[in-house]
Amino acid sequence: MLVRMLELRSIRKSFARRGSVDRLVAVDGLSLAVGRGEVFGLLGPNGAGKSTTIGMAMGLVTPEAGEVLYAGLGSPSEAAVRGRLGVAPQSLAIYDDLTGMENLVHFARLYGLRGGSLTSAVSAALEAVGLADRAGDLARTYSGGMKRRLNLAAAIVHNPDVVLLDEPTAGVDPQSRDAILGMVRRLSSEGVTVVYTTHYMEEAQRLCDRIGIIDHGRLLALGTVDELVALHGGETLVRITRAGGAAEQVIRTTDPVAALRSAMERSPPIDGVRIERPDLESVFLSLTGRTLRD
Amino acid sequence: MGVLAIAMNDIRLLLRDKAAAFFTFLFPLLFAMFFTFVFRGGGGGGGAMKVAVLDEDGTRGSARLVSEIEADSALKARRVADSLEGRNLVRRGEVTALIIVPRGFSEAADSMFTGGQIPLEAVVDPSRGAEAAMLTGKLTELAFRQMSSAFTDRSRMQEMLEGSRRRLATVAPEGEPGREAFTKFLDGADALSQELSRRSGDESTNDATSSDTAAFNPVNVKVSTLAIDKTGKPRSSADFAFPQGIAWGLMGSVVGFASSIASERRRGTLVRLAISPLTRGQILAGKALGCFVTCVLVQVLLLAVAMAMGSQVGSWPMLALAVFCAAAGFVGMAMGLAPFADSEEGAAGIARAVPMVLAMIGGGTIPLAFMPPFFETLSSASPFKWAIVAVEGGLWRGFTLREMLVPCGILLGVGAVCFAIGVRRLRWE
Repeated sequence: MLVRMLELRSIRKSFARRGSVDRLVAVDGLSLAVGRGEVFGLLGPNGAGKSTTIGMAMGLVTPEAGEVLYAGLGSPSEAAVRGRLGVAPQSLAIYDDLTGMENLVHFARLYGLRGGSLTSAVSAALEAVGLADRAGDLARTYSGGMKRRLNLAAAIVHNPDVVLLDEPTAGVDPQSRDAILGMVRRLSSEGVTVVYTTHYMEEAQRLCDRIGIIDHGRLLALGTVDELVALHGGETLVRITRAGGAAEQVIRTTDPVAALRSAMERSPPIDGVRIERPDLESVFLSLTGRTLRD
Repeated sequence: MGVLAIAMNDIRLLLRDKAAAFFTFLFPLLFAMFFTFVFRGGGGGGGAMKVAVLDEDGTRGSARLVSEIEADSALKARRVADSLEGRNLVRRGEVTALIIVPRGFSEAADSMFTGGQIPLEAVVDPSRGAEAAMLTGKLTELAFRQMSSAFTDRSRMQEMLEGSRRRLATVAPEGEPGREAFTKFLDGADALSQELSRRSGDESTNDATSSDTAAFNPVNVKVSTLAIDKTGKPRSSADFAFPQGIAWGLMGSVVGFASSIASERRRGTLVRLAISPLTRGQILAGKALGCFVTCVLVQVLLLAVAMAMGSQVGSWPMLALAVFCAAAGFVGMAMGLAPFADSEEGAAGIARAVPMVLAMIGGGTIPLAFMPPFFETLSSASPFKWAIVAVEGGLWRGFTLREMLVPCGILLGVGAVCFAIGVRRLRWE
């Protein structure tokens, strides 16, 4: 059973549009709940409203309607609640002219860490993101991936209960991406709730316990990857090529094993088989008529 | 077509960046208008140097000079009853100088043909050197005008010549050759006076500083500076130069702070601060404290150098008060500017323009006396001006606590208003 940690209740936010009296509705009555220790993925294309949603969840953006609540803590508009949140904004919110360690010491102090607990928290965060050996170097000398990892370290240095990560792997190298994803899994295993926005489908599929798909500021679907695929992914495609150069046979089915077995009973003999299972991409396509990268 | 598209896009981008558009179009316009007003006197008759006038002589001649001083469009004179009142006005920076028409003025004026010099004294504000130099020239001109009027006023000339002849008659016998020469001179002057008096109906003779009198220097304008140190010696020039340097240093701190907010917004670190458990008030207080400490350090550093160069502090408590208020006022200004620096480029534009504008209207580039009258009113809004006044007040003007209230009050008031505007308008994302 889901022990609710974060709850978004019918939140709405719109912004003024240049040269228009109409406002751009970024988030439109979104409601969802995230469980304690869960890795929750907020999936959607650019402009879907993910960052605004995260902004409201972190208390940076005030909802026009609805409310954001952290179980046992309250609203993120309260300073004490924000003290239990860790946030890695989409932009690299670090100081280039400070070293990695100085950055983390500065941010940890904002959360009230002092003395020995500060030192050990900073060391642990640097270790966790694999930057311990570069801790004394200026952040400006870091690669893009290292800066991303430092950005993540700044979000976790004070041991938060909930971590909000807004596109944490945008534009990073595979090594840094693996480090970040590993970090997220580690956080989850330690009972930390992680809300993770991305438009990388495979990342969400690998990482998230549950996924919410949003577009135009609305929640289109919510569930585990398997649930979403089962509900919205459509049928599996079985592509069969046969000996003798016959045209490719495409079978749409919900039971690819049975379909393949049936195909094998016919001749000419099968030369090759490709099974295309529905995934989040096809879920999104079916829900929105667009691909995630649109 | 492609070229046109690029050009139009560049112009559109320029206009979208409000700060860049301001500094490209509006700022040069304001700059040009400022100097137009300065050079033509704002259409309102130009600025006038404020002076205090003390008539110690109390004669008809001295009264005539005081009237001329008051009537002169380049001066805005106010009479004072005694030297202390006049000196206090100079000390407080309310007037540029105290002009003293000393006792014996008329007598000396009457004896100019027997070697006497028309004496005038000016006690000037040492921090306003350019205006003081102009004043010396103006007083010389006015004194020469007195001489000129003597030549065209037949009865006065007669009095002067008779007086001179009487004094010559008392010269000892060994001075006989000189007496003869002066008697001839007086006869010649008498003839000249008769001739000028005859013509004076239709000719102006006010141009007393013409080449005919160039080698003749019967005017003695004695200029002294108000500021003396504890030993009675004139103060170090560092006393007058460094307060303005301090104001420029404060402007630098302001610009640095405003730029840092823009830079933090671009980097996203401002967001990270905003989502920390600190309240926005605490964040801004932290930012303001950083700026305040910088402003204090700048002032302390400059004052230390000034003291190393011979400056002596008049009152440590008043100077400390001035440093505190100047720092607080400029912190407020920095906060007020921060929302207008959307980008670091915008902040750089502000960095160029704001100190210049504030220095301009605060008298930091051109003395206020040379500007149209409304600039003087405008200058009252410039923290640049009041920071200088406050620091000077503590350093050498000998301000009392009550006298410090005006500059310090204005600095704190302007700072508070700017701070409130800045906090209200600041964008965090």
